Amino acid sequence: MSDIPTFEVDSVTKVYQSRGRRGQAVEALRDISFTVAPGQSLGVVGESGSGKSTLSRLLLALERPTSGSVRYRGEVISGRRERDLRDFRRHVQIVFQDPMSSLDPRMRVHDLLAEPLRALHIDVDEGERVRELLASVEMPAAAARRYAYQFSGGQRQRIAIARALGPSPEVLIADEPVSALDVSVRAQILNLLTGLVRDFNLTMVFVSHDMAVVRHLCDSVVVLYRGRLVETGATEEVFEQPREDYTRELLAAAPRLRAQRGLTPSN
Amino acid sequence: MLPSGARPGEIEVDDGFGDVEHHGRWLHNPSVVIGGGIVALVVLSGIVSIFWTPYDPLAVNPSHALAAPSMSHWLGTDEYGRDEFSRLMASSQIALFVGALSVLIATAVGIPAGLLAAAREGAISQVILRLTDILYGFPALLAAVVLAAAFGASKMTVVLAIGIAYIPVFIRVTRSNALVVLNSEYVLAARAYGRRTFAILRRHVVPNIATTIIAQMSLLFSLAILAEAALDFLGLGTVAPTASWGTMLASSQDYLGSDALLTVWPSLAIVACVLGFSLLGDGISELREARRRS
Repeated sequence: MSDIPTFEVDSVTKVYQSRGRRGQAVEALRDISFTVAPGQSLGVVGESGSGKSTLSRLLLALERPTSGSVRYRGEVISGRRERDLRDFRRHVQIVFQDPMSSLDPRMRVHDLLAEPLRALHIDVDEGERVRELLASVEMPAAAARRYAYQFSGGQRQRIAIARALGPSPEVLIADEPVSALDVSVRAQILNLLTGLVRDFNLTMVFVSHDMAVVRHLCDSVVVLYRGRLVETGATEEVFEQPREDYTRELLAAAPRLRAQRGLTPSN
Repeated sequence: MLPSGARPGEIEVDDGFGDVEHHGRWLHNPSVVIGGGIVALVVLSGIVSIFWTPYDPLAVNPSHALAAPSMSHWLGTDEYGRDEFSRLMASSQIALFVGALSVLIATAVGIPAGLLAAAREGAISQVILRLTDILYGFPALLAAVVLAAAFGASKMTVVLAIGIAYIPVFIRVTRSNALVVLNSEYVLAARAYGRRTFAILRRHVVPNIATTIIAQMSLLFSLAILAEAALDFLGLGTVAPTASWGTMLASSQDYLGSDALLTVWPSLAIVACVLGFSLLGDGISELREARRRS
């Protein structure tokens, strides 16, 4: 089982065609290939506009690649109809960057957390499962009756993480999960994520522009630059001996990296 | 809001607090209070007039024609000796009926079409939007004239003309607001856990655009009442002797020099009613904006 990769991204290209007669094509990703092994934590790094978010949407089969394919445990998921993706949807969940916009303002926390269970027809006691999920992200059970806007940014992100854990996924895609948060709470959320990945034996794809965080969390890394994959390999290798100029530049742009290997917030 | 970075253990959950705050805001908004008050008064007088009016609004009494306001006839009588106050009360029935039914027609067609246009990009959306443009360009007054000519002037011709004229407004408001929700990350998250388009519309889009739609309904209700009065005035809607603010206004024209009050009463009723509904609509929009900023 361990020889079947969790994700297999095979020469994926994604072109966005803007509408209209003179619509220009924007190439978000070009010929990207990599694999994610079960239990692995993969970091996807690159600056904004490098195609990171497009990649996470392709991994979730929310968009179809223009060419190439994405496989999950050996099965092609790219371009499949929604009804064929039932099992896949249970297995792969996402945490977005901004918990304010990723949580419906009209739903109470209970419903936010119960929605994935209802949608995926997971037969559990809703109230009990919601309490469990809140506990796993260190939130009190009473939070279930409130709305997301009644919480701070860090707490909202905990709620978003709890929602992603609801269907007991095997893979967690974290798309810049701390970039929108105050520096003071980033470490808390990152430590929570690390703990959850360990406790639930999750495979994680961690999308970020923050090299220090990726180094802390991930055992291998994919470096994107303008939609192209410039470098991939084990985190330590890539960080100690970057082969590509762009990777070196990215590392140089994060000067506190060498001085500060831990994740103590710098406030 | 809780202080940013508060440790989870320190949350003081004061259940129901949010609800209290929410109800309180409604009563602190002057537009909602004043507009709601006027609307309540109009609705009340409309309902009461079904069962009781001081006089029969249609009872002719030539010996009391064009009487000045008095204890027995609070607002005086018209040229046939009919009690003005009773007629004003009975007229609110027609205004409310036409307003409610035309807004209902406009929303019943406009909201589903707007949702469909937002959810299905491409051909379906384009067809709906082009039809909207055509409908938008078609003058409601002309529609009323055609309907009145074809089926005879009645309040139903007014309802149809106004209802159809407002369909494009609801399509546009619904579509543009639904698109904002559909492009949000919480909808993306919902798709990631397997929600399909219809469920997303029902669970996320409709609840999030409901307040905007209700505010729009209230505003269009006020415009519908105004349009109804205008069409009645022109003889394209309710016809004499049935009491409506528009027909009262039309028949009072002849007495403008001698009995100007006959013009004043229905005008005041129209102004108050329109003001009430549009204030209520504005108030609801203001509250929505305040909520969005919080």
